[in-house]
Amino acid sequence: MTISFSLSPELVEYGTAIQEWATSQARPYARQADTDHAPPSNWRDIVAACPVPLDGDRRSGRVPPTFDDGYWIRSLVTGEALAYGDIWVWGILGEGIGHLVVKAMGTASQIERWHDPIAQGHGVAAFGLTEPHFGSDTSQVATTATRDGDVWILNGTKMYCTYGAVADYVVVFASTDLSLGPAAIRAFIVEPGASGFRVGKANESKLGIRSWVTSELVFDECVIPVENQLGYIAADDDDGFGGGKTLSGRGGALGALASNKPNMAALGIGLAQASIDLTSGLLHEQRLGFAPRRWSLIEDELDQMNRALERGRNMNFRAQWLQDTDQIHKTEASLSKGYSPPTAERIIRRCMQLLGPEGTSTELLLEKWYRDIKIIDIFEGSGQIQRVIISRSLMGRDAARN
Amino acid sequence: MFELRRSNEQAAIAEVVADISMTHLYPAAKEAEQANAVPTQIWNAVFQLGLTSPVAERFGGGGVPDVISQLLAIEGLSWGDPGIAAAIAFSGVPAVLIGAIGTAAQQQAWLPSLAINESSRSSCALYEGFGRSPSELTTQITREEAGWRIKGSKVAVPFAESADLMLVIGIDPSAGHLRAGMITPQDRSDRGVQVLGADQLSGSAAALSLHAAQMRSVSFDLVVPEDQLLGGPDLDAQLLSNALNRARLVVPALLLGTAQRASEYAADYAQDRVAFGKPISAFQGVSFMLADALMQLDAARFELWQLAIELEGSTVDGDLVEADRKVSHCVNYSAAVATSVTRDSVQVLGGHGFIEDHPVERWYRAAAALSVLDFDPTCSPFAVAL
Repeated sequence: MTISFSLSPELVEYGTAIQEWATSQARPYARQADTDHAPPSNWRDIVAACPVPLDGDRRSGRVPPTFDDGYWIRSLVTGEALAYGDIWVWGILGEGIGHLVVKAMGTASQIERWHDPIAQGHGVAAFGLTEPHFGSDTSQVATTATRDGDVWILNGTKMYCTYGAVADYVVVFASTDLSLGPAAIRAFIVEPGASGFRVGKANESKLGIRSWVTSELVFDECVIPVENQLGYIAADDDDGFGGGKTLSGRGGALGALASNKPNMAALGIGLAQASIDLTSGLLHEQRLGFAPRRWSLIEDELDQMNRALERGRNMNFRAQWLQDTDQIHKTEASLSKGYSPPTAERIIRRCMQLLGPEGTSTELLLEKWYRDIKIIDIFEGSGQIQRVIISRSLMGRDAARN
Repeated sequence: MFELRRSNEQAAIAEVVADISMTHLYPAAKEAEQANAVPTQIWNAVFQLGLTSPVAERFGGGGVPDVISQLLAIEGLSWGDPGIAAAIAFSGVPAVLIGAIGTAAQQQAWLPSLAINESSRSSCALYEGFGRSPSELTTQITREEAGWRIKGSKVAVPFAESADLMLVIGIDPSAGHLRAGMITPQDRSDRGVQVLGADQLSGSAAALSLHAAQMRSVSFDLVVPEDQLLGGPDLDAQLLSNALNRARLVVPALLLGTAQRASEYAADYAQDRVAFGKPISAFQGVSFMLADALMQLDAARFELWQLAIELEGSTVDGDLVEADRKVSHCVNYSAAVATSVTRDSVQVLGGHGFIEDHPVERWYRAAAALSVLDFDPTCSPFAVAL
């Protein structure tokens, strides 16, 4: 074994093809997607024009290639390349993270039914954990699940569910007994059309990632079959709580997030890299207008930004390499997501400053990307929560408890 | 002697501005952004305070308050809403400059109407973007037979379409120093003033923030008569530089008001929001961000006030380059502080900070938009977050 930070030439070529397509074919719709709070209506045609198969490209039926680099390493490359074009593309091609919970907590038949199709690019799985009164503190789940014979009845409201209004199903975290605290949180599959399930708000009015569907979902006496409880095993079902694996709902939720966090950091890197490249091009057009000292300072700054993103990539690759090689990666996922997003924000802001007021005008996409990127350091665990996770890995459960 | 107690006048101004900000500006923030304009009744109410477009009593104005009072007023308005505050404060800059360095005839010609005509909009075209300092402006103001030619391009010109008076700042290459030309609506009829980058559909300036100030890029190529050269051809260039440096302090005052409010809002939220059994204010990861904000805001505000007092008292013999540089550092520190504080305020609210139900996303955008106006990379080099 030799330590190496390089990717296979095949994966590099794949990523380059996606990035070129995303920049030339998808980016022209970026402004419209932001204004409309929706992806362009012809997105299927746009995606079909990509020269290489993409994850989540449902219509074409094309299967993304596998690479020796690994599944999760490929997903980092793909995510960055798509975000480099614009954030709307990932919003349409992402498959969500609900299926990752199914994989972590489901029985073999549940995995076959709900995980595999999504993982193969045939659908979208939403994730319903956050509620209006909590985000990071998942012990505060107030949505309830009450057993009634062969069904569960869910009551509660979920917020910030990416793809919630359009997903093939939502994984809903609910408590079977609020008095038991976090131990009673379990995960349930709710499919569109379930009685008592409705979309409260299809899409929030957001600072950025406006074309992504970010939904509020309401469960009002929502009825689902007992088989929709993840981990449910009929033979063990004797106590009215549903039989099955002992893995807690929270464990499944947090496990799914750990898998995906580095990919979110990669989206931020894609946005920041696009900003640097766009800004660099515009500044070079103005080259003659700068005093030599000022120009050399600007070149230094662009170099610093590029190096900073490269450091962030390495943090992401490390976490997903661990996952691809079946090693524990929870802390490394947090190290990855805690590290690069705040710097990526700064890079976009700096690019706008270097250009001046035209940098914040809607003639360019920098102002949009500056709005888009803010969520990266918030969702799937804020930077502060990543630091709690990291500190606890270093110093135990008492760390960062104050 | 070091002294920070406010005068009665300063305290009164801060109080009245805070009141109008909370009762009028803050509730109108979304409306102003959507309409790309300050609601008329708010503009008039603030105008009548006489703080943002101050004119001496002998020209029919309410008098020119001391410089700290002016900064308190601008910061206080920005605490209410940065977009509305920027529109009003930028519009007041020409009155201040004419009052400070205009010829007697220019003061007679312009100040009485600026003092009483609340519907008129004024504008100062100063910035050129790309991190250039005032000494590196490329707009030129040169003498010709018919008068003075103003030629060049400006960015972020407030009320670019509608200003009744537009001051353009440029360099006179033959004299080697700054000059300012005054442009009236009559001068604009011959296409010598071209507004660029207007949104063809809405006719409005589209940008990250500050919509109410209607800022656009403008290119100039026109000749104005000599009586429209601010201060006349013999104006001491150091006086103009000093006046411009004082005008540049509007941006840091706006930045600090925005950031101050954002940090207060986040601090309130952090006391209400409960996670892991206690308000999130109990977690150092949250509370230290807000504690840092308080330190930075105080330090930036003292720098701003100190510099304003210094510039107000400075003589024509002052070191110009040093003064320019101090102003650039002040502006850029305020920008660094405000962008960081508003960013952290969104962070404290988490997902709720990212949706438009809370105002922190608006302040995040406003601080960034203000931070690009008078940016100088040599004052605050890029630094990675980690």
